[in-house]
Amino acid sequence: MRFGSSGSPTGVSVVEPDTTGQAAPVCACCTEPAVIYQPESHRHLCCTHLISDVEERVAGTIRETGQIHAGDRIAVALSGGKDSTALLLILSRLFNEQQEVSLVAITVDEGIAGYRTETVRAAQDLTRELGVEHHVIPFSALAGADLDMLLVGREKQACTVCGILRRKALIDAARAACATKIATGHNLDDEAQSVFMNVLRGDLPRLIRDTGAGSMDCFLPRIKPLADIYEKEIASYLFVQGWFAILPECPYSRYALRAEVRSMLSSLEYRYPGTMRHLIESKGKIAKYCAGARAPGTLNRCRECGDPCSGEICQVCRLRHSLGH
Amino acid sequence: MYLPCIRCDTPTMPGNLSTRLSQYYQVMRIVLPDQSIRKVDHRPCSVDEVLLSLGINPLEVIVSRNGILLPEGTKVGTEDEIRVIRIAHGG
Repeated sequence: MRFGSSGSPTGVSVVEPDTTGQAAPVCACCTEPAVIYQPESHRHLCCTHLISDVEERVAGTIRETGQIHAGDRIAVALSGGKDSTALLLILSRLFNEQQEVSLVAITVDEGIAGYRTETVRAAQDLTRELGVEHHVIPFSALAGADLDMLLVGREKQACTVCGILRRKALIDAARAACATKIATGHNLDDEAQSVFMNVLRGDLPRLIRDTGAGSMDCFLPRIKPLADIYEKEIASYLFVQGWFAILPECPYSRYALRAEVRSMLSSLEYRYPGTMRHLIESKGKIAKYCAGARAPGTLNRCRECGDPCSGEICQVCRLRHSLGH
Repeated sequence: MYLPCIRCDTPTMPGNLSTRLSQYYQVMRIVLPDQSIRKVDHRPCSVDEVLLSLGINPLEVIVSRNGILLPEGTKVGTEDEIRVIRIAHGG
């Protein structure tokens, strides 16, 4: 089975007839019309039960992994896209002041023309609606210029440059907001893609790294409450509540390996349901096998900025040098 | 009387037979993620069959009809207009 471009010009094609004669699917929990099919559980869900299913599974992930505790102040990385929008919506419903957990949203504005303006606006609308404290951090404050300027002549490095600087901006902003943890909107599809990309790169240390643990006072722990939710479930969850917005795509995404991995894994997942989950589970098994053999990493301080790093100079400072700053 | 082919407007077959077939094979309008419109002639079939015939992976999109989400197994057919919305975004 091959999947091609969905944006092809208008035309007419012929679809083979269906002979199953099935009626419109209804929810497995009630008699309402279904809006989604979950291949793993072989069940259809209506709007109401989709919303409760997603929120209960996120709550379960948080509970089982001990991601959030009373007294935590969670910095939600809010790009304004669908995943971070769903994350903030769900966390704001699961936690409130009575539960002694507070939320602060942080949006890093990389300054990508024709892309970021709309998503930043979407993030502002959401936080205003939910009454969540929101900080927008421009890239220029960190790197002296926006991403478009930094990438002139080096567009193929976009994701590397953006990733390093965005992570730094997010951590700095979270610390400034007195957050105890950073929550990101990585979903199950993202996690599977990351595992596969690390395998393709042969990057075992990154494959088994646990970013959720933190390390003394050096790192803010990062949590991924949506890690058990498929991308399609997130999109559907937002759509049925009127929160799904069609936003522009990052113009640099075409240079990313992730785009190809996403398409390939998605195709495999459709043909062999459970593929993505198996990949993620394999990461845990590999980490378990490696646990005894893993050499204790030495944590240094960057000689230029003082941030924790594995070498003498951190990635951000190295990048600043390569950019001529 | 010969009615035009629904694909290319060429006169095709006696009217009575064409009319009978056109009740069976009707044209569905599909709004694709890039907002272009594709017409597909078919008998009623499921959402995934429509998507696969267009080369779209059903996991990378959600599909709505009149603003209501349709799960993959839902039958769509005569005179429907369905909207395909891409969910997998880079960035």
